[in-house]
Parts: sequence; structure tokens; C-alpha cells
Amino acid sequence: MLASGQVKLVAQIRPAARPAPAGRLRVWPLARPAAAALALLLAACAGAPPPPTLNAVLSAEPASLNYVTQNDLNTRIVAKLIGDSLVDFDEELNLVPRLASSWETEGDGRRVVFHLRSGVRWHDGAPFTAGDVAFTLERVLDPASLAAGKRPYFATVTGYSALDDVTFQVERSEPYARAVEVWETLPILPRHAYAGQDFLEAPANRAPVGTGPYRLTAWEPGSHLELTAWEDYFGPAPGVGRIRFRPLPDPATRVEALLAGEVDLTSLRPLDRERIEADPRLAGRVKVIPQDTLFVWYLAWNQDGSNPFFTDARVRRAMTLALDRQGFVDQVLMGAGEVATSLIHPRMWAFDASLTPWPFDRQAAAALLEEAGWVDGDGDGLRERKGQAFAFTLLMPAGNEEMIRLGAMLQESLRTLGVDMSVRTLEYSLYRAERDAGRFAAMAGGWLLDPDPDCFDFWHSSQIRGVGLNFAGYADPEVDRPCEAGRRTLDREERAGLYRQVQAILHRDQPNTFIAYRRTLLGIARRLEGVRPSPLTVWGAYPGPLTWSLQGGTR
Amino acid sequence: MAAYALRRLLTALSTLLGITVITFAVLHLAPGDPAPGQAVDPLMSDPEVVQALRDRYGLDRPLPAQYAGWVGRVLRLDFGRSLVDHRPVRARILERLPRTLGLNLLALGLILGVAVPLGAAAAARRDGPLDRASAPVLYLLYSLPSFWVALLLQGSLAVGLGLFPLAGLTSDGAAGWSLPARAWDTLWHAALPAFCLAYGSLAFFARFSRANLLEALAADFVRAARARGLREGRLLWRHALAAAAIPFLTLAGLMLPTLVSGSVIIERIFAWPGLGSLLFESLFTRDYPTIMGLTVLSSLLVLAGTLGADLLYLVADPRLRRPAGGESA
Repeated sequence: MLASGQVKLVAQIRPAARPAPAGRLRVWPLARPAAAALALLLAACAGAPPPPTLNAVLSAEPASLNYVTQNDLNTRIVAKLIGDSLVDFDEELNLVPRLASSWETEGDGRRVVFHLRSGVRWHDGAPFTAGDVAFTLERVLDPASLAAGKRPYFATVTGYSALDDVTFQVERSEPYARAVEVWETLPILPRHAYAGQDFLEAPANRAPVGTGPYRLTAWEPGSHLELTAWEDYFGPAPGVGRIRFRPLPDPATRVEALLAGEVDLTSLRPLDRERIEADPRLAGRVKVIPQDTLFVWYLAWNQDGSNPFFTDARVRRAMTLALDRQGFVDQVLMGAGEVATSLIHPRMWAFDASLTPWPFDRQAAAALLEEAGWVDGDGDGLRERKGQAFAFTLLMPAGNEEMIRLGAMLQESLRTLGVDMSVRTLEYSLYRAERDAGRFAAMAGGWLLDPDPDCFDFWHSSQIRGVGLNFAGYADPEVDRPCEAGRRTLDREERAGLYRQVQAILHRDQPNTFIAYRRTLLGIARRLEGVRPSPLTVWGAYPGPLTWSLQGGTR
Repeated sequence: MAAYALRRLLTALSTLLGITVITFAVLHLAPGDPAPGQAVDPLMSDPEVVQALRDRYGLDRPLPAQYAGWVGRVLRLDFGRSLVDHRPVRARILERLPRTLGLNLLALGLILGVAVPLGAAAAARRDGPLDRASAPVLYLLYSLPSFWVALLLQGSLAVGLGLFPLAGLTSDGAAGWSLPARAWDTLWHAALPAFCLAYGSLAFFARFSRANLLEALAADFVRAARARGLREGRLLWRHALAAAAIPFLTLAGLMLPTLVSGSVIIERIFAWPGLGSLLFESLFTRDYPTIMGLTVLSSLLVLAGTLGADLLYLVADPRLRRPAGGESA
């Protein structure tokens, strides 16, 4: 449920430095001092050549590696390599054990008992116990930890305890379908490393101690983080001995770095694919594979009564019919996407494939608008009802190229329908403030969905206005009921049925226009093997990155 | 003279105070909340967490009280802690200061080292082949957008020919190298960004030094020196250049603040982790203490630059040295 972040992951392999090819020495005067320096460098480090290194790239440097407090995507990538969560997801969104070897649930998630692996040690040698799990959960629940990103998953926890060193129990005030899987979000922190420290200022936040497959071996602020495989890892031995993460904030630079051979793995922009495939030299070095993501674009129609347009479902459906969503996917995303029907992704088990997305049909849209009373009576080209013209403003965050083009497409299409839409772009935190306060008639947004179909936060009537994510102010008891029931049972069949009801109603009511699920293009250096795309991103699945290897020797 | 210097100093200090008051007020009154740890978006605005953050950093207190507390700490050189990573702001700035400073010094060296000789050579043979050829090239350079040049250089020199690293601060494994090797490695990484920072000003400075030299060459003392039979070369490089240096140094002095302000665009493109990108990130996360720390730093330098210029006038202009009616110092 993290918002519109863009996971920009990149990775690279590179020798210690790029030696200038000898043939160029005469031509390029700069290469001569470079070569001299290289000779010096090679002499300096001849003793210990670095192991083959996967050079990964982040879109920004993690502010801290305290993964309770930090919840951004870059931190999560690194955190899941250094730390371990109790459970995790594999590439296909199946739950798999990690620090917990097994678990039992009672009362539909009211009580969960985790059986932890025994003999697991922290990177500093201290034994891992259930006390560490209790400590981590205690930190999440304490507001002073500022763990805003994790707390919602644990909001109903009423009690927890370490029954013994390898058994941990959590109790909740009510049933919760996701009682086990939400532990995926929470790599466990070592209690002993935080003893007697301020949780937010502890040195362990910059020098993390984990139980995970990699240890942090260097962190040069702003420049890079270096992770080295940990020999005593309890799980599968990592195939890549060393990972070097570099923050590269500029998307164009990340792609250039991939093409320069400095990077193994990055998401590409749609146009980069053509460029790579057109150049045999690049195509010989880099392969391009599409990857589904759980990111979805949508338009929310404010139906809290503050505007006269969108309380009527027919008007909302007309808006959907007026937007050429396939055109958006084809022209703006250059095919890297899929028209959406709801906030349940086709790769989730609860997805209802029988629903066909509304087509692009302006005649049908016009008919619906007329049925709803919006007609152009005075012939000025603008529809009106009871003296009120159909003119509204679409709120969107600044700096998002795709959304800007989406806005332009919709604006143009609505103009031909006699509807005047203007666009208001705001810097992100202002956009967020307006959105959360409901000060908009329509807004464009994007969400990175959780892998579970639970959509209570999006559609339940209790989640309106700053509480949850029901920005449109949609309230329908017919949707509230399955949303409540769907998160109170662990029975997958029953849940699938409930979410099919939700999807059908949302399809009819269109509280949001669901635009498209994003598909990213991954550019992967051919030297890196074993990368499997996943809706959770290549880094997000377990054992995922541990199964990768570098051609020409590992470790 | 001391009174004049003191007056200028007091003006500078009150200006600094004014800048911080305004920045502080604008920052805190602007809409949007700090969002530590949620670089993307807080999942939901959790009221308890928002309150905990406010309590921790006293964000609920009235603004004047917050400001007074901030000034009190700054006087003890404590700039507070970042709302984003909770580390001391001073450490965060000091960590990045050498990078931006180093890169900008390199750029400045490049500007002066190329622009002055080029301008002088062009002035020496006014309307000569060099002068005619350099003018359009310099105007072209001056008008090229730096982000575009940066991408072009990355594509050709870094990706295409592999002569320079694409981005970043150091090579992999550099930490284990000898000091000269590391220094060279950093210089190598700084080359492209420094050029991108430099070339626009370089063009400007070359034209500027040419104009100043032409003016100096037309001065009476030059004619007199020429009449005494001084060789043209010596005349140009020693005498005229020295005379033209004064406005030049003033301009260079005013560039002092740009040494630490860092270019957001160039730092981002080349992943050069300096102060420009720190300010950029801090603005997006509403990291008040870090923004304030950076504001103080750059205001201090602007004021130091102006103050320095004022005091240099004092040296240059004897009329300013004399208190009303007194004898010269």
C-alpha cells in the first residue's frame, strides 16, 4: 500500500575500474594518466582482488537502515538482504517461511504462534531468539518509533509474548486474514544492539546487525553501500558474493549506467527498449524483460457531495468511457501496462477475470451524461444541469510525466463531450494534503498495492478523509460488508467470493476510474543470471536475489 | 576605519538574522508536514505518529519559541537533528561539504585557468583569428543547457568511449587503494561534472576578461609603457592584466557562495552526493533543521563575500577610510 513510488532498481557488475583499452592511448591524451593511475591502483590492491560484485543501484540512499522506522522502497530492498522477516513471499506471491519455520493460527488470525528456527545467529554472533521478535513488534507499536508505514498492519494487536526462545505468540482483538503475512513487512531487529539507546539515533541504524544473507561491510554516505555474503546464513547460500548499491537519483543516468556496463539491472523507460534492441552491441550485453508490478494508476471522483457531478454513478462511468485507457497504455506507456478493472491485480488469486474493462466509447458516455441530466441546453458547447456548467478540476502531483499526459488525454476527450476539465498540479506533499482533506473534485493518483486483495482501506466507508485511502469518499454498505468479512477469515475460497462481489460492484459504480497496472521493463546485463521477474520486484521475493549468480565465477 | 568595518559587520549580522527569521517562518508556515522515513508517502497519516514526531522535535510549540530555541542552539553550533534520519544536521552537512566544495573549486579553477588566458589572447589580437573564432564558440557554450551537455558527455565519453566513469564519487574497491590512487580516482569522477558546471561561466568569464583587458589596453598607462618601448607580450601579461584583474577579483569574490550551493541538476545527473542534492531532498521531506542549516551556511557565505568586497573597497578607496573630518588611517 505504499504510494506512488517508483521502484527503480538497478544493478551492475564491474571490475575495479574500467581500464582504457590500450589502443586508445595514443589517441586520447586523458587515457594516459588514467592508465598510469590504474597501474598504481592495480599494484595497490593486487593483494586482495574484490570478489565478483553485483553493483546494484537505488533511486535514493536509505536515510537509515532501521527498517522499523524507515519504510521507503530503497530501504526495504537493502533491509531484506541484511535482515530477515519471519515469513516472506516468493515470486508468485506465495507465502514462504523465513525466520519462522512454521506457524499456527487460531480464530481466523486472532492468535498466531510462530515456531522460529533454532540456532540462528546475528551477524555479531549473538543468538537470535523470540525476544528479538517481541522487541521489534514493541518498537512498531510505540508511536515514538515513528513507524507510520508498519503500524496499520499491527493496529489490532492486543498482546504478544515470547513463549520460549523459539516460540512467539501474537494476539489480536479481532480476526485478521493477513495476521501471518503482514510479518513479511518486518525484518527483525536485534534487541541487544538497541539496548540503552535512543531507537531513532542508535548507531545500529547506520551499522545494522541482521540475521540475513548479507552483512553491511561499507557505507560511504551518498556514494555506495556494500553488502557481503554472510557465510553462516541459515538459508540458501547467496550466489553473488558481494553487492554494491549505488544511489543514482536520475533515471536517465541509471539507464546509461546499464548500457555502459556499470550496472547489471535497472528498470528501463519505454523508449530504451527500442534503443537496445536496435543496437546489436547493446543487445549482446543487455536483455530486456517485462515485469508486472502491483502499481496501478487511477482517477478518484469525489462523491462526498462537495461537487454536483460525481455523486451519480452514471457520470462516473461516463468519465471512464470517455478515457481511452488502451490508448494511454499504447501511446504513453508504450505497451508497458494493462488496462485495470479494480485495485485487485490480475496476478492476485482474488482477481475476477470475468469482468471486461469498460471500453473507450464516447457515444455511450454522452448517453449516460444525458441520462444523468447533463445536457447542453444553451448551445455553448458545455453541458449543464440546473444552471450549473459541467466544469471541474483534476488534481495531480507535479513531476509525473505519465499522469500529465493522461490528464491531457482526458481533457481533450471530455472537451468533445461538452465537459470542461482543467488540471491542477501540486508538489507532492501539497497534493497529499489536498487529497487527504478531500479538497478536490477529481484527482489522479497511483498506488503500489500490497500482494493481498484486502481492500478495506480503499473502499470501506470508515476509511474516508485522512483515515484510510478511500479518497473518493465512496460509501456503500454493499461494499462495506464484503470488505469487512474479507479481512476476517483465513479461508481463501470464501475470501475470493467476497472480493468477487466487491469487484463487481466497483465495476458498476466506478468510484474510481481504474486506468492501468504498470508493467516495467527490466534491463538485465547478460552476465547476471537467474533473475526472475516478480510483481514484488526482483528484489522483493524470497529467496529471489539469493538465487542469482554472476557468469564467470561466483563468490 | 574600524568604525566602518564594525558598522558593516553589524549590518551583515542583522541581515543574517533577518534571513533566518524569514526562512524559518516560511518553512514552518508552508503547507505540508515533515514525513520522516516515508520518502514516498506515509501510508496513512497516523495521528499518534504525527504527534510523536511533533513532541520529539517540539514542533507544537509556538513558532517564536521554536525559533528562539533554534537560535540558542545555533549559537552553540548545534544545528539540531534531521527529521529524516535523526542524525545531527552539522554532521550531515560536513559530510557533504567537501564534495561540493571540491567539485566547485575544480570548476572554478577550470573557469579561471581557461577563461583568463583565452580572454587575454583574444584581446591581444583583437579581431584576429582567435578572437573571431572564439566569440561564436563561447556564445554557443554559454547558451547550451548544462543538463543536456551532461547527458551528451555521459553518452559519448562515459558510455561510448569509456574514458570517464558515468557517475558517482569513487570506483568500486577504491577504499583499499593508496592515497594518490584514491585522489586520482576522485578527480577522474569529478571531471565530467566539473566541466558541466564550468563551461557556461567559462564562456562568460572569457568574454569578461577580454572586455576588461581591451579597456586596460586602451588606458593611458599602457600607451605610456608602449612609448617607453615595452615589449607587447610583457605589456599584456604583466601590466594590462594586473589592471584588469580588479573587477575580475570582485566578480570571483561574489562567486564565493556558489562554491557551496551546489547544482541540484548536475549533482543528480552525476550522482554526486553534495549539498545541492541534500537541499533538494530536504525540501521534499520538509526536513526543517537541515534546510535551516544549509540556509545559514549559504547566507553566511553570501554575507562574507559582500563584507569582503566592502572591506576591499576600503583598501582600494582612500576616501572611505577617513572618518568625517579625521586624518587617514
